[in-house]
Amino acid sequence: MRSNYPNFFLERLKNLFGSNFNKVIAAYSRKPTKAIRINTTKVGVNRCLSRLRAKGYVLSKVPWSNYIFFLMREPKPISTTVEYLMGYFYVLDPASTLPPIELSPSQNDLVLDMAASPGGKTTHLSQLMNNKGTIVAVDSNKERLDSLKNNIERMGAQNVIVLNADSRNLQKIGVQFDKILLDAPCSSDGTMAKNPELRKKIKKEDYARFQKLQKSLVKSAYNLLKKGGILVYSTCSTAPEENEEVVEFAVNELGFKLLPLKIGKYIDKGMVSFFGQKHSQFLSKCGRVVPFKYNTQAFFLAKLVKV
Amino acid sequence: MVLKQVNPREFKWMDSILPGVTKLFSGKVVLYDDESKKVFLASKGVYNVLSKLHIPVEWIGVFFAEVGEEIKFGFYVAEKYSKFGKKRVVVTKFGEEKFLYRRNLTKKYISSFSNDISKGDIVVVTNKFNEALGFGKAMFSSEEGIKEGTLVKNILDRGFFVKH
Repeated sequence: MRSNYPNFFLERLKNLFGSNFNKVIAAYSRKPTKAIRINTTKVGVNRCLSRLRAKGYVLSKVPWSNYIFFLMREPKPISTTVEYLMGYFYVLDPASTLPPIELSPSQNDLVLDMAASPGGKTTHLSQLMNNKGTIVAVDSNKERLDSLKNNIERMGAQNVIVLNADSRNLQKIGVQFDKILLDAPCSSDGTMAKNPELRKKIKKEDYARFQKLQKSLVKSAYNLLKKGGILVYSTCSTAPEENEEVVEFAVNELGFKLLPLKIGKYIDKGMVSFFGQKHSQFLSKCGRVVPFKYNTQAFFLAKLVKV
Repeated sequence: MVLKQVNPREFKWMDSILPGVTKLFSGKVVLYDDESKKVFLASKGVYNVLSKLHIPVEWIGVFFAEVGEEIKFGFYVAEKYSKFGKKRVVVTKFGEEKFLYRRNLTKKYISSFSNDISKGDIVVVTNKFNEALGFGKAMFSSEEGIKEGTLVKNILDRGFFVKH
């Protein structure tokens, strides 16, 4: 099982996860549990559940939300059901539902989603805002915009403006935002259960390359936020270089303040010490989802305020 | 996108295709993209943000229709229009499945229809829950009733979202 991974990666995981190393590797070898997020702007939770259960789907509530459910049994692909086509739910990794919940936008907010495709988080934000306020959803990849637009239409999100742009270059966009979601491009090394091909592709130098991109995106987010505005930063990486170190940069170099997570009780704390070095204590306010806890992808998130 | 704000009255001819459809413009800003020939609806809040942006946009608010030689209404229109109870064909469970696979509808797939349909009309196709599955073109009239052959030609169905 371990021979499928490059040695440097196994050493990293041992270093980061210590006694939980075997659990992480085991989780990477299992099929991850999917979830559905019921679109409460279109359908009631109970109605959607009863229709899906009548078709043989087995669903179990996640601990952090009453409209998100683990998909425990799927008699046929759930994305072929009429309920899916009607936009009654979105299929996704359970951990990826956390950033919009943590950002918690209100109905009056102007929100920026800096890396929006394929739209799972954009449409979740729209749902939380009850289709009010405005979301500006940005993606630099033109090809990925079709899936974003299709999901916006399927889910009935009505408050979204889509831009094809590089979020590092939005200085002249003309508005400042109350809240920003940055689910940053990353090495995705936390998704190896879903994307086993990454095991062979991942390289040591990926972490530094992505960190450079992530820092420039966080800097852009700082400039685009109103004073007092909130940024939720997330990745599907296990690497502290892409997670805690980026947050440390945001606090120490840019002047963000790190806030505690309201969903913190459901997940692990950020790392304050890694690869033999001690880092800022405040990093414990960040959150990590280890893949074996809920059989999801590994995930990281942090909430920052522009002071 | 080359957007212009339009007076909803300019699209009154849409009402000749789906009677009353421009009621859906109420409280919204109607925007027309001269390049893609698409009509979008935006809330005043969304429009206010849009008017301040200095970057070209790809999508705004709600896709309403594409206006070419023929008009192609979007899923938002199907969903809202189905609540009007007009120009509506209700399909059976099996008919729902067929229609979502891009199929036309014959008699055995239709369970009921509204009494205002003329041959050639655009109709909203719904299931028994009045959930709008898409649009079709009626090949029958309510007055004549349904007989053999293709009765509704599939124009647009939500099966699109499996394929895309």
